[in-house]
Amino acid sequence: MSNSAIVLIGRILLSIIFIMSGFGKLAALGGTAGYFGSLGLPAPMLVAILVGLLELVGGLAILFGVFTRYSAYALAAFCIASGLIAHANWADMMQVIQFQKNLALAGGLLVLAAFGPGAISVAARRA
Amino acid sequence: MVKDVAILVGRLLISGMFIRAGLAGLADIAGITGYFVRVGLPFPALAAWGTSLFELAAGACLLAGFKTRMAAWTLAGFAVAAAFIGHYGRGDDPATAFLHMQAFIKDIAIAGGLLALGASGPGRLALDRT
Repeated sequence: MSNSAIVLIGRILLSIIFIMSGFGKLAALGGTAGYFGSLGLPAPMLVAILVGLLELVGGLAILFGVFTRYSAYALAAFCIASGLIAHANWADMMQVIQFQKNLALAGGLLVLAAFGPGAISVAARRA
Repeated sequence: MVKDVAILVGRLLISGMFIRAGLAGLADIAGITGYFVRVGLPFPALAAWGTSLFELAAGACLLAGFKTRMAAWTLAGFAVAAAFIGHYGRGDDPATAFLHMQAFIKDIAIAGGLLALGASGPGRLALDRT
């Protein structure tokens, strides 16, 4: 299989989590803002809207291969930040595992940002 | 060079979870075996040794950039298998089921990142010469 096909499958698998969780956050903004408030985040409603949009739009961008590099870097930073905020109790082994999974996800996004979306992408069609 | 550094950092971040999981598994084979019995895997003790050694070795390969594509692709397959065995359709109550669903799609996303690494290769900051 060509590298472009493999990276396309990689983009599909990478994008699902962000599209689903971005859509889920925006569809239940009250609950999302309440959760963010319980984590001690400031302006929880505003943060809920921004994070939901970042995940949904960033995930769709990676899926279609448009603005792939920016989206992948932004979502990588988001994964590390959300890991530090939501999975920060490292006395709990489950939280360590979740935090490391967030880091691994960020690592995959960095590789995607470096490699680019491949030939099967909106960016390549336009070029 | 920016590209090589980004891939190196990516390899470091991805490899951490597998190396830690492999070491933790080898340090507690009985515990992993018990978990595999609960999820219904055949040959649970063999699977505990096999998966722990595989995670450690393949994780170390990603870190060092040695046989990177092979390691990335096999780990991607492993992550998908682990997601289905460990998380798909699991959880007796809605809250636990939601956590399993999240863990499932996170493992799938990690597999996606590993496919991207398999496609890109390890970059120049690696033992592999491509």
